[in-house]
Amino acid sequence: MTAALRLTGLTKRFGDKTAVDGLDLTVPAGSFYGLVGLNGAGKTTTLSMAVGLLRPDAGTSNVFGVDVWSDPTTAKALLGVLPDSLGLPERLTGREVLTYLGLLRGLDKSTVEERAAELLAVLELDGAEKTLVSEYSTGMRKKIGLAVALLHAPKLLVLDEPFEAVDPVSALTVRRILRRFTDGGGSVVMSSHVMALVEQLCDHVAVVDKGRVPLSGTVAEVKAGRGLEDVFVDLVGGGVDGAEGLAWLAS
Amino acid sequence: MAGVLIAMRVAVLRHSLRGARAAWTSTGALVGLGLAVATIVSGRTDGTLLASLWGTWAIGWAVAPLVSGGGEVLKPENFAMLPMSPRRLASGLLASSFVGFGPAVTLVAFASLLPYAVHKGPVALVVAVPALLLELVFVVLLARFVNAVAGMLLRTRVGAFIVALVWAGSMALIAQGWALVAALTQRWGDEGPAYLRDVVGWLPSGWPIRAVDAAARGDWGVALGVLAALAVLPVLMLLGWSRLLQRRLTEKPARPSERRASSSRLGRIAYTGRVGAVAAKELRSWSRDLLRTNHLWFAVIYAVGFCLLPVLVGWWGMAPYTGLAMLLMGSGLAANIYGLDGTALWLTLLTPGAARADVRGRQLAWVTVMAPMAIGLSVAFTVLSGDSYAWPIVVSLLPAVLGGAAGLIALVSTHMLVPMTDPHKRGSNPLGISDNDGSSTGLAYLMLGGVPVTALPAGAVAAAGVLTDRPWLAWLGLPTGLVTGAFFAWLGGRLAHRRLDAHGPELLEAMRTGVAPATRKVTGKDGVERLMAAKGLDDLPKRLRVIVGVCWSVCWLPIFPQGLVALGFVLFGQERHSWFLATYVGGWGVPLACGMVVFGLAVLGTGIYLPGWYRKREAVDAV
Repeated sequence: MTAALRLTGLTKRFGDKTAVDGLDLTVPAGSFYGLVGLNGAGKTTTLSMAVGLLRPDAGTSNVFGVDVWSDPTTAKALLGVLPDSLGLPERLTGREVLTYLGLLRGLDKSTVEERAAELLAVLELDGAEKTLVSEYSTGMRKKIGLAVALLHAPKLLVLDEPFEAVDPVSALTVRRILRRFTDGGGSVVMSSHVMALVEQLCDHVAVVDKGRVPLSGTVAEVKAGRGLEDVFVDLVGGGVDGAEGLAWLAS
Repeated sequence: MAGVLIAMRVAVLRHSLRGARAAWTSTGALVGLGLAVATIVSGRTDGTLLASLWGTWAIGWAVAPLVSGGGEVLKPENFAMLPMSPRRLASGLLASSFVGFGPAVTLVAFASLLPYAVHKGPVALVVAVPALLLELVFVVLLARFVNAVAGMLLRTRVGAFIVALVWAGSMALIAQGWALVAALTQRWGDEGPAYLRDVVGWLPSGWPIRAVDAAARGDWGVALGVLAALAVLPVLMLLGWSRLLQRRLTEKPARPSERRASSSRLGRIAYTGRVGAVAAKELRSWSRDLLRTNHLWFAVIYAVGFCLLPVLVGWWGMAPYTGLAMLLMGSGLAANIYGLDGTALWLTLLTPGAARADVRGRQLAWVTVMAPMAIGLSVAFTVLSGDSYAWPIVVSLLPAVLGGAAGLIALVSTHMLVPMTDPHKRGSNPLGISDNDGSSTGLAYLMLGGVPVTALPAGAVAAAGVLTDRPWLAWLGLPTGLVTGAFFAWLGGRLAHRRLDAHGPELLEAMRTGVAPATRKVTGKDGVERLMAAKGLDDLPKRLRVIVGVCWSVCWLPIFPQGLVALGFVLFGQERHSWFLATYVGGWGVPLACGMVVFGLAVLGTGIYLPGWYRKREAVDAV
């Protein structure tokens, strides 16, 4: 079976710093894949290159066998993306954002209206009908971003930190939506710092460290009977500090 | 406190002033220095002239926030949690504002008070020194104060209009101030300009000159009084500014109201396809984004002021072209339209085939916003002017300029994108669209020069018809304008969406990181860099590269404007011509202009010689 996403030898250098270093990753179709890693490990850079937002120095990204960089039009029709903290059309309301992006994707008027209404209702953004995106809170921006990613019913969702700043109730909603999406045959790749979340939600996990993937597989394989957090810290952590020093803090 | 803020600002400037940007900034500083020297030279003896020149410098500082995107290197928001009063914060920020080329150049310009004081009587120097320093404090604070007031006003629609009125009005006045002087002369003879002189002299920018005059007369009471006023004014402004700072840091701006009324019409546009969807989105931005509202009013008010001020002396010759002037100004303010929207570009990049629709939709929206006003202004003022021969020229130029501008906006905003602060990260100052040095202002000038070029064919045909008195030829300008307008709009848009398709990710990266895209091919930073790569110079050590870059970008200034052009002016007997130094030094004009050319050639030669010298030295070292 074709993989939902296959990254081969992805490399990106910024100046003399190598952010992503020949990274390989295969996301099986129908899987819910978690990417975990330290700050600056290269998760966002990898995902940006995977979906076509950042040109890699070397390597390829295939979405269901379609090369993102040589046949972007076909690949992008299969993809739904939630990038980390990028801009949105600030002077539109949430409904308008969805309407115009739907029309821009070539959906017809009634489909767009129907889907926009449903997405806004499910994500509980329909109460903020008159609010411009520029007035949204960080969590609301995440939610409208997720709605944008889902709008055209993609086959693969690529989500950068989808749960960051989202309140616990909305997080439950988002989890249910993503579960339904994978149950219906969709594939999800998601990056996160929260180990517990990845452990509960994902069936596959990859550890990203210094721009490479030293460990990947099903969650059970990677954990090998231990907790994901312990495995992760052992692999990338070095020493965990914080107990010593800072003596002045509580004086 | 102030010391720490000054150190912070120095650190920020040092990080941002690197490589080619340093070359740009030093070019700007050199131009400023030229203007400062011109101020000194021309105001030696004439107090009235000096006062009006100082007034121009003050206006320059007052509009600086507009040009430099707020001009805030340090954002007050970053210090909101420090336990200190707004007054202390304002004083610290003010102190840090003195770091930079602007204040240094202005200090040189204000040094013009010293030769003037010597001319009046050396004893006046006692007053001149404190007066010019206080004036420097006043103008630097004026920029901060205006920025704060404008930032507060730009939260409402009316405020956006007021800010545009003040800025565009004063810039039009600088450009066409002669008309005002001439009108006053016409009305009251020599007394007319004398009134104006009094007004200019009694503005705060003229106070130091008043003080020096008074001291030279021995009128010490007046001199000290004026000095005291000069000292009190900044204190009052500082208090006002700290009030505004506190409001900015503690109040969330009211939501811009939405206009429900227009949605049905916009809805119809939106459902006419992908281009329609983008156009509808853009039209909403035009009506809801107060910064764009402000830009729109700026274009209108500047054009009206610029073309109608001469009417004061009964000259209607420019009035028919008000609409065209508005289009030019409007195109300049829209030249960085992709940069202003920031990283929201990712949505276009991830939507299959959306690049073309995005570019065409933006062009369509710009034309939809501008065309009715341009046509209205053109028709109204051409009728009022009674210039019947202007009709074919105006009517021919309208479609040519509309189309040419729409094409150039698309082309320039995608090929020469200047990264701005993302809209959702701009903080509470609506003007704070960028922390760079106003490179987008360069794009505006490019449009002011480029758009007329696209309209040349139509203008030439119409003008030829008018001059030779052949109406059929004059009216042939209209189809010419329609064809060239359509052609340039099509071509610019096509180049733009191809650029988005080919280099979209690079543009996005540029906006994410705030560094101009590495694939840019035109002028400025990358022009120099590309030239260096082409000449195999990119392996030079950094310091040498900066020097070579500065030489290459700066040498043209003495060679052309200050050298050859100034020489032309001198030879044709033009005295005291704007900023051409050689026209101010009497009999020394020709040698000075020639010296400038030699100097420029020497700078260019240094830029060419240094790399070769370095290579040779390296080769010797290698052996």
